[in-house]
Order: sequence, then structure tokens, then C-alpha cells
Amino acid sequence: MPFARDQEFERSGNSPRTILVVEDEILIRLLIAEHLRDCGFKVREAGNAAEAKELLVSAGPIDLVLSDVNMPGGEDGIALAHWIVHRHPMIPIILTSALPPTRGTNFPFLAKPYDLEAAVALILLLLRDAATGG
Amino acid sequence: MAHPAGSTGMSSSSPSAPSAHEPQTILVVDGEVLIRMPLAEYLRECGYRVLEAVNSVEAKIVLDAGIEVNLVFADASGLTGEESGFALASWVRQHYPETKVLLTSHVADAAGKAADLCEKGPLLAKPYSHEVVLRRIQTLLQSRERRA
Repeated sequence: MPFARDQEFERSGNSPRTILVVEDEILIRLLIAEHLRDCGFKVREAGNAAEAKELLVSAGPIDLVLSDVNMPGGEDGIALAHWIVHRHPMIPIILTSALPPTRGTNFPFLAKPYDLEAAVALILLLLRDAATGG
Repeated sequence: MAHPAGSTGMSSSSPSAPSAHEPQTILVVDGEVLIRMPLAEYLRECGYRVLEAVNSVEAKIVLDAGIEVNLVFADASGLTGEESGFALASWVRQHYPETKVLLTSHVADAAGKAADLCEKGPLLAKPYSHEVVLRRIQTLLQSRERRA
């Protein structure tokens, strides 16, 4: 598997990368967060865009954001993604949704329900690209 | 869900971790993410499996999903009525009597009410140190083991 070495890197005890998971559905959030921790990532959890922003501002470095598109509270994942691009342009973003995006976006997208291993593979790919400036 | 791997690194001030063969699960319920996240991370480093909930609604979803939770640590300040930490504690006691509850709040005058719900004295006042939280959690979970 092309990403097996990357997963071994995450588990090898090297400084873990931090993923911010933004998801309003608690059971989905817990599932993906625990899977990512099992893969060796450090994970921050946010239930909405406002919490995500607080973590991005105050909770130390975040290496990638995985965010649901449709969330309550007035700000969806696409708006959050644009906020992140403006303030933290180097952070890769993955958007997820059960519905295809209805407005233009260049962000990597995972259609729900998504396979957890596929999500991890995409995360590793984006982190590798970010590290090499790709 | 798979149990998380062992701690990535214990701080020099971390007390002893729970039994290594079966990490116990703590559900941290707090709407202030900058309070919830550091506590959750600290408890994970101490060896617990930690789940995070933004509010009582999420907490109930977790418990009703059949996820075994050994202790609920919930903020009792802020929301009132059915969404309050006190209401959650009562609900947990009624529906999941084996699950311990530890409440925390900024509200000093709620201490008496909380004492009716929590096993060991009044609720934990905010701001709290993580070490104090850990000791209270360990006491509550050890009392459950002694009765088992």
C-alpha cells in the first residue's frame, strides 16, 4: 500500500501531527477522532465552526483540518474553510458531507459515509504535499 | 470503537495511570472547548480513554449509543433546565447507575445541590487543576471497583 510507510511514520513515535476534526454529529466525530488517534495522530475535536476557530487561534499548531460542511450555528464548513485559508493558508483542509458541494470549492472532499482508511490515506497525502510544498 | 493507544508521553507531574489492561472511559462534557480539550488531553496522557461532548444532548447520545462510559465529568454552570449539567447528572443516575458523575461549576451556590448528586462532597469548583480532577476521578472509579 502506498501509504503504509506514512502510517508507520505516524505510529513510530515521531512527533505526531495534529488533526482538527470539526463535526457536529457526535458519534461520527468520536469515530473519526478515535480512529485517527489509533493511527498515531493527535486530534482536536470541535463540534462547530466557532469551536474550530477557538482551537485554531489558541490551541497550538494544527496540521490539517477535517470539517463537515453542514453544521449548525450559522457558519458551515465552507465558510470555515475560507476563514482558515485567509488566516492559516498553510493548513490543508478536507471537507466532508453527505451531499455534494453546491457551491464552488477547490477543497479536497470526502463524501459521507466515507471509509476511515480512505480518509487517513487522503490526510497523509495532503500532509506529505504540505511538507514538500506540493 | 478501538481503544486508543497508550500515552505519547507522560508529563513529569502526571500521577499514576489506571490499570494498563483496560483503560477506563471518561466522558468530558463542557461547552467551552478551551477548557474541555486540555483536560481531555491530560486525562488521555494519564491513560484514560476520553470522549468529548459539547453539551448534555451529545452526552446522552453517546451513552444511549451503548458506549460504555465509566465516568461523566460535566460542567454544571451556564445552561439551565434540561440542558444543565445537573439535569444530565440526574439523567445519568437514572438510566446508567453504574456510571459515576463528577460535576464542575463556576457557581458556588450550586454546591449544595451538587452534593446530592455526587458521591464525594460538593462539585468541583472552576477553575480547577487537572491534577485535582484526576484525583477525584480516581477516587470515584476506585470506589466503584471496591464495590464490584
